[in-house]
Amino acid sequence: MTQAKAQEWAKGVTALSVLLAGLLWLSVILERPGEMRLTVSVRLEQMPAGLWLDSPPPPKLEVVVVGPGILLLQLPFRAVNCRLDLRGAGPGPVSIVPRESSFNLDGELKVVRVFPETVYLVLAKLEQQ
Amino acid sequence: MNFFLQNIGVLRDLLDLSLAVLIITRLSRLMKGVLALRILAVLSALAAGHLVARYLSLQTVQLIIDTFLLSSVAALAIIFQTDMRRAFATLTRSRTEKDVEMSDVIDELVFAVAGLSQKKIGALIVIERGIQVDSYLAVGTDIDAKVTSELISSIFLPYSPIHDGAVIIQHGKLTKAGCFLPLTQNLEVSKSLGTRHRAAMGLSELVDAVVVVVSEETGTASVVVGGKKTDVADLPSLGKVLRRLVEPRWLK
Repeated sequence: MTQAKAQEWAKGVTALSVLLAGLLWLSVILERPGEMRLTVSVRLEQMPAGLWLDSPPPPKLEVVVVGPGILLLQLPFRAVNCRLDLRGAGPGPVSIVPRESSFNLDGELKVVRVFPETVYLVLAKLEQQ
Repeated sequence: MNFFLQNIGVLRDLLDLSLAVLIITRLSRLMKGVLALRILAVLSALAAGHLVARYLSLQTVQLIIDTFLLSSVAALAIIFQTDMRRAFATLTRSRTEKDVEMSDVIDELVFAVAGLSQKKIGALIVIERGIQVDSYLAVGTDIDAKVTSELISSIFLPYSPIHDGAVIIQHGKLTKAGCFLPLTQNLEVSKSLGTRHRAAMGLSELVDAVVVVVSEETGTASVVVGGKKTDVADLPSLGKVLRRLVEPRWLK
């Protein structure tokens, strides 16, 4: 191997070493816990038959999510929403507290704060309409 | 001071990154050129793959990549066991003993090499250091004699039945002659080098021994250590190089 080629190889090895170190460092840094504030829309599911929503649609919720940085980074590009299960609800005012499982998030992400904490709805029978 | 305290997190991250770069760069220098590039490229691809799989929550792909990444540490340790052993042997070398008076063995060696070089008689002399060379030697005749220039010269004379191999010096004694050494597997070695030089490089790639070679064609003396050949211009330089490389404790 000529000296020029050897120097070229040495530069390549150094460049790849820096790249590898950078990638390893990045994978450690991105595992650090962080938090992210999100605004998520509310989706009503399992509406009992014969009932309809007799109040303004629920407002968007402010949610604070904590977890590894790399998983938080993907949240702005995902359609995160809060699914509220109305199964078993009757006509009249209904208050629902969103739970951890209401948000379609990765298992390693935790919802630590939701505002408003409770969603208030009014359901009415279809014949009342 | 205030700036330092405010940015301690950033500074710590920068220190972390710099140390990681330093460690990986130093470790990669232990590997041979082409192999180092390939291994570093594969490891970088695996690390990048890990990040992408983690970001996209591809758990099975991540499991596979993480398994490869973790097992690569063991794989690298197996592939580079001889290089690591040589590096550790160098690390544990004591510097204080270097000041001890030069040994007669080196003087005798230098005299022998001078005579052989002048007469253009090929020679291959192995000086064992921290790592034993026995397991890498084939054939050979046991001698166990004091190292003298006359003995070395007579072994390499063309009509000697054991002139075709290497002479081994262990603990300051000439223990074997006519030994065959493993040839280098390095494809980058110049085609102009003969079997004697290739054998010297081959053994020195496996152990930390110092190998002295005298070329039959040119009469040039060279010292080979760690797979690298250095031509020696004159006798005093050979003595100087050998005294620098061989500590008295290896000649006792």
